[in-house]
Amino acid sequence: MLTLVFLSSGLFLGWSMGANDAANIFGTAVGSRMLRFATAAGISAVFIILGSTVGGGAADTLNKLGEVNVLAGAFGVTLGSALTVAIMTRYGLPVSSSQAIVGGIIGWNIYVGMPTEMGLVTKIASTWVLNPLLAMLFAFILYFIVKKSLNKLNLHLLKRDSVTRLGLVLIGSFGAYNLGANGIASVMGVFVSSNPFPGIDLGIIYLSPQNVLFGVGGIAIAVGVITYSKKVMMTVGSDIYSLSPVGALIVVMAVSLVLFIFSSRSLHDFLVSYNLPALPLVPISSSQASVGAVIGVAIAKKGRNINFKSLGKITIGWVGTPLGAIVITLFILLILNHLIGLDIGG
Amino acid sequence: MKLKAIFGQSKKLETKIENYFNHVMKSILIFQEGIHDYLDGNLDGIPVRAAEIAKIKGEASEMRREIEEFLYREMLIPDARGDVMELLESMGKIAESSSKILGNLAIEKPDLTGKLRSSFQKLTRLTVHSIDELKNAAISYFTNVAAVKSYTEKVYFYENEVDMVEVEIKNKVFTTLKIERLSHKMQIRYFAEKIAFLSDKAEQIADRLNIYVIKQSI
Repeated sequence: MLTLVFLSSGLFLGWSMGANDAANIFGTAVGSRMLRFATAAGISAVFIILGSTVGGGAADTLNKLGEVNVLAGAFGVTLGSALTVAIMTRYGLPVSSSQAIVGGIIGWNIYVGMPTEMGLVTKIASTWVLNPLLAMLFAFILYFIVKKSLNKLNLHLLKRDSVTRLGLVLIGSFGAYNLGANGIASVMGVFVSSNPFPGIDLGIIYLSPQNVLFGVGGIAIAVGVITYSKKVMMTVGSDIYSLSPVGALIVVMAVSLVLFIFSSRSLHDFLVSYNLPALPLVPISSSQASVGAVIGVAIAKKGRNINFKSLGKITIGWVGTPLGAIVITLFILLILNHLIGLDIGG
Repeated sequence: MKLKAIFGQSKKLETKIENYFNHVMKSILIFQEGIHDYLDGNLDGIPVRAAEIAKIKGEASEMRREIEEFLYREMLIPDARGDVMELLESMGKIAESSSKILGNLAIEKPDLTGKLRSSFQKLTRLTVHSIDELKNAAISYFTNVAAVKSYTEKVYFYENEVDMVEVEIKNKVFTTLKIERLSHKMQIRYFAEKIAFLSDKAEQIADRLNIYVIKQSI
């Protein structure tokens, strides 16, 4: 029972991520009525749970940043991060749960007196900057590839519609998988060292304790998608109304690719084995990737209607979110440790 | 995922849309024949032609409703659905207007003989050309969006030619020809304007089509 209470903050963070971030994958498709919400939510739920359970490579980096070895400590870190997200959202400030969790872990390090490896912090922070820039670059390149392909194929308007719809489902599934694989690190990453779950042998496959922990987190994200993401998807869809369905497909492709790059252990190991530069596996903000991708498409269309204010807002989030999470997590840990008397690790 | 079903339904709809435009064009060709009949003095054929157009127009309207219902029911082309419906409806209205012109000709029987005969023949021929090019542009909007512009340019060309013939007819009626009664002059002008209006309508739809094409660019 106590385990569930401690996990609740992570599950809440997962629910919140599902409610908000699934819109970065299926928002434009649902908002523009290319896909029904039920279809998008169903696909998201299945692939997010799959991605969360099987993926989760980004969690290792968070554990290197700070190994929160006690369940109550992990609870404090995720609660601090979740509260940061809630408070900043309440005041309309740009926020990302992946950045909040990094701030939360640094807050735990400070509280328990563990050193924070600044090299790693710099590495993580650099991926935040790289994330929207990469999404922008991918979307820019994809725009020309897709445009050329469409011109060459010269599809009937209705056939193009069917192909785009199919693309949104397929790429959206890939995106949802990677959203789960990347985002689970923020949701359950800090619980890895104090994981309360045993492994499960399903006969055909064996789910390690980490697989089970991440699977539970994935279910929380999926519940967030099913119960609360419809409104967000409709808003995202109308916010980016100037994008055509094909433009939306390009954005989803770019976001999915960026999420894949930052969460696929196989790709990371493949690049390393060939002595190629590999990006660190870090939880990133799909919202910021989405903004980057939309701007990438806008630049490809000769820079019309670009809202550079959204990039400025992201920059504020890079600094504001971790700082806010450090302060709030310190405060939460103080309460848990001194007022309630819980061991928060260290 | 019912892939085969999705693409199969889309193929049926593609055919239906093309049939719709062909129906509209057929009614315009009958209109042209009706005008020729009238100018050749075959007045009895006019009501038959008007009835033929009305029948085709009825079939086209039924097709249009089926297309629109299908587009909405299957949530197809959400970004272009409104444009497609506007295009189909406005094309249908051209057919409807042509039927009314023939009907009014049969009732009012204006005197379009003599030097006016060739002018009205030319006016009708150019008007039909403009609508034919519009039909090509409309089909291209679905099948080959890059070709729309070349067809709409032809619509503009023929519409301009129609305008010139219309002015030529008005000059003949009010200046050159000796038509005694002002009411007769105004009646002839009315029919010239009504036929030319069909190409004006084609020009307006061509303008809209060019906008739809821009909206389709990714």
